[in-house]
Amino acid sequence: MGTVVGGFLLPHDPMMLTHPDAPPAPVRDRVHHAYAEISRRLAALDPTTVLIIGADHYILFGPGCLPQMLIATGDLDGPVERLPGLTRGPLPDNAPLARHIAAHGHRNGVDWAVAPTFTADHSVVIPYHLVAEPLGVPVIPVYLACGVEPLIPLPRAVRVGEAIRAAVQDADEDERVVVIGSGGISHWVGTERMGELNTDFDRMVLDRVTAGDTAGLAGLDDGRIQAEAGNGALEIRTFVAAMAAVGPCRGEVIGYEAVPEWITGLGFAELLPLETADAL
Amino acid sequence: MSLAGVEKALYDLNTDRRARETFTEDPDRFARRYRLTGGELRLLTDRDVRALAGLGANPMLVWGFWLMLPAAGERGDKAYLARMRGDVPASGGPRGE
Repeated sequence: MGTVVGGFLLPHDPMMLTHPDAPPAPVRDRVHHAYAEISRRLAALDPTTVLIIGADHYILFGPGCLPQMLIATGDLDGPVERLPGLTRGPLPDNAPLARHIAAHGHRNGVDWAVAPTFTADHSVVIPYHLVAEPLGVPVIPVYLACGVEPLIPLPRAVRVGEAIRAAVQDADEDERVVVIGSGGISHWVGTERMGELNTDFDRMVLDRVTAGDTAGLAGLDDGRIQAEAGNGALEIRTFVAAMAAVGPCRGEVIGYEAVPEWITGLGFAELLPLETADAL
Repeated sequence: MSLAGVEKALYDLNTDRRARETFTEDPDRFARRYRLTGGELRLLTDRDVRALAGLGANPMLVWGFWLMLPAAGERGDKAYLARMRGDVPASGGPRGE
């Protein structure tokens, strides 16, 4: 039987790579420290696999096919984009577990799109590179429709997380899986408001993460999210899915930076399963 | 106007070098391939990102288009935002990569 032993929420802002020196040095240092702290905590969980829930940016999937939820079940590489500091190359996979999660979902009403070969984008590769690559742990990419209509409804993102959890618990192998929700909080991507942030909205999201209030986050209205925090904030779908995959939990905020130079409110948190959190 | 056709054209321009080459070398042939109207093609050749967004094109596609094929002399996010906000009018004529 497998176990989801923990989770993390973090951003995947590519402007950290394309405009690395844009924010003041102390801000950059705190952001890099937050990634390093997550990497340290991830190592402490001794995972056998990291499952990273990312968001397509109309790069991987085009108008010819727009999956609501996709899991990569075989050979992996990435990133698909050319980004400074990242070289496209193979990523270590756990294809048997990924195929198990897909098949378990299909048997239980979760219509995963599957990718037997897959090139991940920055929303998976940046987190992997910064927190998991040093451990050499295999990765399972999952993508949710966060930025392109039709969006996956937030409550359905919860069910995807629950399905991941159920599948891991049903796995034959003694897997220790850590689930990472990869996304920014407030940010306007490509709109005339690009560069604006909403720290109040960001704090509200992180407060609900801290409380383990998955239902509260999943109950947010998409129109409100877009109006108050931008189209990029729709990526909190990855947060609620990760929270649901961890199960009853509370969050611990590791860092928060509102970085207009990188056009995003950047939140970092650990998701502590309640049985673990109670023991601390 | 066909939003789906415009988004397909933008997606291919953002992800397919051959599509960018066709668009740059022979915009009319590019337009026929995607069944774009003359007005739709002009939005692309004029780099009229504000109008493209107004049409309903996904802003991630529009921004990506600008990053791949910016207007001459207007490279970068500040220039993009100036156009998106209507501070700088769109201008005619296809530009190269």
